[in-house]
Amino acid sequence: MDFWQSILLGFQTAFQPVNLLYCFFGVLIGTLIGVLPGIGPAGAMAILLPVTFNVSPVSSIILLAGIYYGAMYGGSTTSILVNIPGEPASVVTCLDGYQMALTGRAGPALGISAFGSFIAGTLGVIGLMLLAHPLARIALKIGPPEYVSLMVLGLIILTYLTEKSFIKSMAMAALGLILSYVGLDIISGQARFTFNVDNLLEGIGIVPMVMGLFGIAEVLENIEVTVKRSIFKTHIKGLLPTLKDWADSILAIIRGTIIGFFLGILPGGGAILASFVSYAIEKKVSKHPDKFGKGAIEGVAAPESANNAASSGAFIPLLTLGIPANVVMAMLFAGLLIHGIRPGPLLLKDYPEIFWGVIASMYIGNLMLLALNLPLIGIWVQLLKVPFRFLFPMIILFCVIGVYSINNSVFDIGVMVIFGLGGYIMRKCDYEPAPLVLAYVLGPMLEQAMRQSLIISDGNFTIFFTRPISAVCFAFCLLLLILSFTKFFTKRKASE
Amino acid sequence: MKLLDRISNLFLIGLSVFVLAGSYKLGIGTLRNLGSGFMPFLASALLFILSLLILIGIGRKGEKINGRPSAGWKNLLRPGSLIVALLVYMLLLNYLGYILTTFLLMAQMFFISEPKRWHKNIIYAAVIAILTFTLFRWLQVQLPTGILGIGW
Repeated sequence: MDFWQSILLGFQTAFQPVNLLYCFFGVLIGTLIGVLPGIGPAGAMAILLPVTFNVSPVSSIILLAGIYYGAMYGGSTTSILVNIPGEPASVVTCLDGYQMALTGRAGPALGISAFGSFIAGTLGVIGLMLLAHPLARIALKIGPPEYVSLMVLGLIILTYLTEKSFIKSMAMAALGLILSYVGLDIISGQARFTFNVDNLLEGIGIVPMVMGLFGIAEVLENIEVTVKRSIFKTHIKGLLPTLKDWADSILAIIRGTIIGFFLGILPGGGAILASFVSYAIEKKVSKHPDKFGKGAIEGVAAPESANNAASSGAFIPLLTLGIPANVVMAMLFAGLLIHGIRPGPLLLKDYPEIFWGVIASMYIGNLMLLALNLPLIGIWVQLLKVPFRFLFPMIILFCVIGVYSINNSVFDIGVMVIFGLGGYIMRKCDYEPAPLVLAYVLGPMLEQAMRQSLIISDGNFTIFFTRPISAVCFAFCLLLLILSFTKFFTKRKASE
Repeated sequence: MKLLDRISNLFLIGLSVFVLAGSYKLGIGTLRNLGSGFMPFLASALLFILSLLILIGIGRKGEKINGRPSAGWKNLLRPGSLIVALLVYMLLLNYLGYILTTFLLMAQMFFISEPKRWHKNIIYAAVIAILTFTLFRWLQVQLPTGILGIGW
């Protein structure tokens, strides 16, 4: 099938009424999740995963993908109006977005954020279309040692980029690996760490784990004290940016798109990193860096474009290599596995309608998001007024029902509560949950690829360092580890 | 919260030692034929080393947790009561059925934030329990009716 035929197939799939409906629901829920501070896209996807069991694989992935990039759009609204990021990738938007709102320019800030997101999202999807095909072909030639090196690299990059302690994030990745080995060993059939509990033979479920770590833990942290949010009380006008606004921000949007897309591809990277890097670069290249932090429109346009482009780029490692680049992609990975579909280089050949259908739906989804975020901004602002005392019982209830409905098992609710408590303690002690979840998803694949590699090399461990791609990846891992440990010990010395 | 940090770290050390021993028992195998315990052994060894490094860090002067400012032990009452409520919900769900247990859970959650409006809390809890039951049954989700058979 040639490129244009594939694209046609994609749009044919995406334009089916049922898929359009799922795409709409996905971006709507995504915007909602993005607007409401609290539960992030990973938690929302975990809650909705059971809903996708009875629909076709392509519809379910269109829905889940819509939640992800929809959240990137919605996240900016709270950053600009309340100075609270709706999701982590919008943290940097607070810096200039809220300042613009305070000076009566909330409209242009929201407008440029939506247009920037649309341009970046659309260009990101085009990049995905152009790059995914050749990369999937290259991926077919990649063997188990390269997979091992790429997965290790992904985990190390994610821990290296962590906002908090590198050592603690690394420890969480190790814990995630340990948890992924609970259950039956697929090769020997031996039960590992199941303590004779039948429910653990198939391993710990990813859905209760993610809902606990992200949904329940978030609620537990937020109910500690009653916090009253102050919502920006001015009529929002002039959503369409002026010509001057466009002139100031168009280059920032383009730069943000390019940076975001390529950082999104990076295993372990993603939207959060992309938004911070693009903001830093924009400040560096600006003729008026002093305006940043005081309401510069470029400071809103660049990170918002970058996080949307990154959300498209992050699909590349998942769809071509079968390696989820971040936690949200890990949830999509789980969504595909539930339907018996293994993401990877063969996805393009075996399930072209899923591969191209999802990509085409992202293009349509971006259009829907533009319509949802500009004319309907007033509704989203009203939603911010829903008190948390009404919101959190509903989040808890949806988590409970979502988890229970997977296997009709109260055991899963217990697992979710335990991970909720664990996630809460992790937040208190600065442990990040994202490396844990990513390592949990990569664990079984890493073990399988490790076994295959050592069988190929007849037990020779140097296979990981003699094959070029694998050697480069491991060299990069080593470099990052040296950098991190140097930083760790320098900080330690300074604190003494 | 330095105490909590220390406790969580000791838990990680204990867990890694436990998994190290368990993996060894499972069999590490050889490089030609990896045993079931090989990967858990590697992961737990890594966790053990990193937890030790964190422990040394906690013990040192000037090391502090960078997260949110702590809310204090007194404010752990609400999260604690929610955890207990969820565990009770888990234990009672199959016996009392969805509607009754969800009503109790929702009422408890509303009481957490607005303890004085008890009559409104009860009404909200009852309405949400019944409405969500109807919605999820309509979505073909199987929900328990309990020994009293409340629901359909």
